Amino acid sequence: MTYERGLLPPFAGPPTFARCPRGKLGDLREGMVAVFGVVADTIDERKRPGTAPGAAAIRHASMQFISHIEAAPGRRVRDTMTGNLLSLPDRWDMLDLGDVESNASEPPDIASDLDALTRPVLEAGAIPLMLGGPASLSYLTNVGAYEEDGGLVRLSPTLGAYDEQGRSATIGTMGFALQAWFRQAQEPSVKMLTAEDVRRRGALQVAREAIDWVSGMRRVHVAVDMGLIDLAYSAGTPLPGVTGITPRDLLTMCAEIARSVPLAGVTVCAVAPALDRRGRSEALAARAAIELIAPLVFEGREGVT
Amino acid sequence: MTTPARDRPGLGTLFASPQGLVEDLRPGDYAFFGVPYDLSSPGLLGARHGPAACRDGSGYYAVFRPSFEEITTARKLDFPLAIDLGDAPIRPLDWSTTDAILHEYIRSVLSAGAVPVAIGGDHLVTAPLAAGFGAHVRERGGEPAYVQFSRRLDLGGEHPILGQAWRGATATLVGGRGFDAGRMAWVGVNGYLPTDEWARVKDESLNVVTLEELRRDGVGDSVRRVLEAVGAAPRDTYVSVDLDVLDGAYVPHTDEPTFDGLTNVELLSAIDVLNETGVGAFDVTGLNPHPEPSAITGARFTAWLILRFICRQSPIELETADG
Repeated sequence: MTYERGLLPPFAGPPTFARCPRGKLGDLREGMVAVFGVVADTIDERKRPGTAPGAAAIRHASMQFISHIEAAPGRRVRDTMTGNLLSLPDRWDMLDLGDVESNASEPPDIASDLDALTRPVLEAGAIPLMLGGPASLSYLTNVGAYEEDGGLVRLSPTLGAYDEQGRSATIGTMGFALQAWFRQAQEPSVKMLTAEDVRRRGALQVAREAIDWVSGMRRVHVAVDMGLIDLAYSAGTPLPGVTGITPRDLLTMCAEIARSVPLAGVTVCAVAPALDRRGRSEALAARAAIELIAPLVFEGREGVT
Repeated sequence: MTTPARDRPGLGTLFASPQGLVEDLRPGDYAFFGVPYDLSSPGLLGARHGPAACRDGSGYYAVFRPSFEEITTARKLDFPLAIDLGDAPIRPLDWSTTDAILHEYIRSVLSAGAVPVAIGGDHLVTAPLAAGFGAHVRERGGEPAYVQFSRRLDLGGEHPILGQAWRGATATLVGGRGFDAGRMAWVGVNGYLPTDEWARVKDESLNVVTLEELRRDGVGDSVRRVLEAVGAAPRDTYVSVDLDVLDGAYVPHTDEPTFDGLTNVELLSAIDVLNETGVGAFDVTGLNPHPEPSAITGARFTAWLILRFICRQSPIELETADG
C-alpha cells in the first residue's frame, strides 16, 4: 500500500492558519494574504499578561473551522447568518509566514522587527494578516501608516490615537476614558461608534456607517482588538470589558466590512488564551479573521455562487 | 431496587431518584439512563463524562423533592415517578455493537411503559435510540416523528475521517431507519452548514426552523408549529437536544465553541412547550464538562432542562410586597 497524505482531523498539526501553505516572503504574489504571528505580550501595567501565545492559539482554533469545510461534500459550507458561501480554495491565495522573529522581551525590537516584515509584505502587493500580540502593536501593520490614502477601521474597546485627517473609524468603544481623550473623539474629524451604538442601531447599520466614513480611501486596514467582546462571551483578553459587543455582532460587522471595502490588511490581536480555559477567545478571533479575509481567500472559487 | 436517596446523597443518581433496573420500571415512569460515548465528535472529546456531570449537577435540585415552586416562571413543579437505570452498557471501541445495544435497550424501556430520558454522550447516540424508539412505535401501529434541537442539521453523509457513524450524520441515520422526512424537524439551526445539507432542506422542504426564524417568530409559537408540522401523537415523538444549540456564553460545555444560538431561557421555554403534552422519548446530548472544569453551568443546566421536561407544572400565585 502506498502512503498518501489524507485529510487530517482538526486537532492534528502542525498548524498554519486555516491549514494554508507555509511560505516565505519570496513566495508572495500580488493580492495574496500574508499571515504572520506576533509573539509578544502586553507591557501596559493596567492589563493582564498572556498575549504571547495568542497567535499559536488562533492558528489551532482556525483548524476547527477549516476541517468542517475540508470534510463537507464539495468542500464548501454556507453561513446561515449571512447566506455567504465559503469554500476550500483550489489554489491558495494565502501563505502563513510563521511568527515575526523577534526578542519578545524587548518591545522596541518587536516594533522594528514587525515593521521590517510588514514593509516587504506590502511591497510584494500582499495583504498582511497579523495574528496575536497586544493591541499596542497592531498599529504597526496598519497600512495607513505606510500609505497616505490608506484608511483604517478599528474594532476596539479603546478610543485610539487622535486622527485629525479623518481617515479612521472606531467601532465598539466602551468603558471609561480620560475626559480629554473623549473630547478629542467627539471632534468632527473623528468617527467613533460605541458598543452602545452597536446595541441601539444594530451591528449592520454601524458597520455601514464606518464603511461610509472610509469610503474615500484607496484601501482600508481593519484592526480587531478582541477586548471589545463582552467578557461573558470571550474573557481571554488582557482587559475584558463588561459592556462589550456580542460575537454575533462582531462576525456580522466583519462580514459586512470585508465585502464592502478594498482590504489593505487585517490585524486580530489581544488574545490571551490562558485567561479563557473554554477556548472561546481564540476560536472567535479565528472566526473574525476568516470572515475578514473570506472574500479574498474562501469565496474566489469558480462556480461557487 | 435501591431506596430513594434524598438522605443518601453519596449515591449520586439523577435527582436522587431510586436506582433500579429495567424490570423495576412501571408504566408512566420516567427512565433515566446515561450513554457515555463520545468518539464520533471531530472536536474536543469528553461528552462520555456528560452523564456523570449531569447527575452531579442534579444534586442541587434533588433537595427540593418532592415538589418546589419556581419563582421565575411562577409555577409549582412536582417531581414525577422516575428511576435511574445507570448508564447503558455500551462498547466504546465498537460502534456497531453499541448501536445494537442502544437500539434494544430503549425498546426494553419502552416495552415497560416508561418514558426514556437519555443523557449523552455525543449526538451520534441519538441515532440508535431514535431508531429503537421508531421500531417500537411502528410495532404498536403508530408512525414515529423526530424533532431535534441542534446548531447543525446533522444531515451529513460519510465523513472522510470519521466514516459513516459520526455525530454530523445523526439525522441522516435516523431518517434512514424508518422515519419519514416529513415527520422530522430541526430547530435552532445556525452557523456554517455544508451546502449539500442546506440544498436538501430546500429541495425537500424539510421542517427546519433556523435561529433567525426562532427569534423572529418567538420560541413558543415556533416549537408548537414544528410539533404540528411533524403531525405525530406526542407519545410517538422523539425529541433530541444537542446542547450546541445554545450560545456558548450560556453553556460553554460542548465539543466546539459556539458563538450564537438560543439563550438558556429560550431553550427552557421550548422545553416547557414539550412539557405541555409530553413526548415519547427525550434525550440531551453534547454535555462535555471539560472546557470549563471549574464551572458546573453545563451540568446544572442539563439537569434543570430535564427537570423542566419531566416535572408536572402548575401555575402559582406569587405574593407581592403590597400583599
